[in-house]
Amino acid sequence: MGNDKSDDGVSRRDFLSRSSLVATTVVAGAAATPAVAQLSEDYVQSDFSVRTKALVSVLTRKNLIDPKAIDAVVDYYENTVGPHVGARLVARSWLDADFKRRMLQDMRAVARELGLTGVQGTDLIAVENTPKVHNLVVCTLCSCYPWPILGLPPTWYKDTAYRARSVIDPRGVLAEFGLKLPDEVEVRVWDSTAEVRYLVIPERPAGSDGMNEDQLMALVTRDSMIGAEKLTPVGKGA
Amino acid sequence: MNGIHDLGGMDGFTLVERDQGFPLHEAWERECWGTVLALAGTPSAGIGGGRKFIERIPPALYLSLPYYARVLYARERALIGGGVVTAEELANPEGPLTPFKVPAGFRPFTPAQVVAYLKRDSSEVIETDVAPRFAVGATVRARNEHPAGHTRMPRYVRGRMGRVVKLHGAHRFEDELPAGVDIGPQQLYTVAFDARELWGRRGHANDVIHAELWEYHLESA
Repeated sequence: MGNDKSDDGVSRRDFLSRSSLVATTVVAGAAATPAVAQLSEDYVQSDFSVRTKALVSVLTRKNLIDPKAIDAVVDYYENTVGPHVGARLVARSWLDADFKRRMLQDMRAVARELGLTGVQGTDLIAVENTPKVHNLVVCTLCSCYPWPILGLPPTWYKDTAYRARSVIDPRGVLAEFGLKLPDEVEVRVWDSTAEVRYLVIPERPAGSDGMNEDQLMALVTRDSMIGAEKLTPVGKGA
Repeated sequence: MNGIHDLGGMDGFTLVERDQGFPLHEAWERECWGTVLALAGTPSAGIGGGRKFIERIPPALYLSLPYYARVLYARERALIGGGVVTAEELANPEGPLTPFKVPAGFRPFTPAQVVAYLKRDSSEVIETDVAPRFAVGATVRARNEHPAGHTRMPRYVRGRMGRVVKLHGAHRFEDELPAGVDIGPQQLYTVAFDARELWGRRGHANDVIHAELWEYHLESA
């Protein structure tokens, strides 16, 4: 602000130092088709940090965003919701057969009762791993994931390889993850194509008898609630 | 659309190591993701429709970009397309601004408002008297349709036979439909497909792949 020499001259150096951003502008005035291709190539080389700051700066100057709200979002998913929420549900399900039955019947009702609603994950389904059935959750089209009970999805879950391969070769994917399943075990893959979100209840690990909810909760890993791993027997180490 | 995003069943990709901990690893990823959600209350800038823009990223670029860079790219396109920001503004963020008209009294989400938004009951269920066409156990076929717009029916199920294993009631329909087409409330189903039906002999006899499909996607088989 206060810098009116925006088009040429002084700010041109700024411009060039943000060469990845220049592409956007240059392209806007150029012929459409090659320009789009140009933009695509340049985008890969972008400094995403610079681009993000530019976007936030413009939105803030136009009073379309409150930067403190940006921090609040990150803080919420880093410190309030996360896999510990799902882990508590799983631990309770191991201790309380009636609670587990209700989770499997109507997870959404259970989540509502406990105040665990939120964007990306109110219409919830719980599925249970057993010695005979292994469940694995994916979103082949994008990155759907039950935010209110597991937080934001890990990078590997959103990665192209997991999305591509988990539906055609779930056993191969699981084997690469370190879990070899016998042929007799049925593998159920759940592709989250709608606004329904899945929670896998992993098998309770051997050696956890007599543990209370807090102790059990500490055994539950995020990836076990996606179906990417089984829980290690207690005392066996990782 | 038959885009690169519709990855199910493709070969040649190498699994990455499973990362642990909070998934927003870098500062710009935190800022990018926070921005997308903090805009949820801003006219023409909200979260809806974001996937449409992600799916339209040119294929080679899509595969080259890390996840949050796709999100950023798509959000820039959406905001430029909605007239919220201009490409010139993003290229020169301290330069002159192009006005964007918002309703009188508009204020962007405060931290408390955005957290309330994140916690809201986001159920997509729609109350309707329209009865579901298929019952649990029904054999159905996913229609062999290849719409050019956004669709939630992945390519790998199209034309394939499956079984209805769960009824979800009517849910907001997410596919893009041609202008003027109103198909009314759409029942949502979980449909189970045997791996052999989807992948031929490569499918494992004991694997079942489920997808959520709306009635619009299904026909009796």
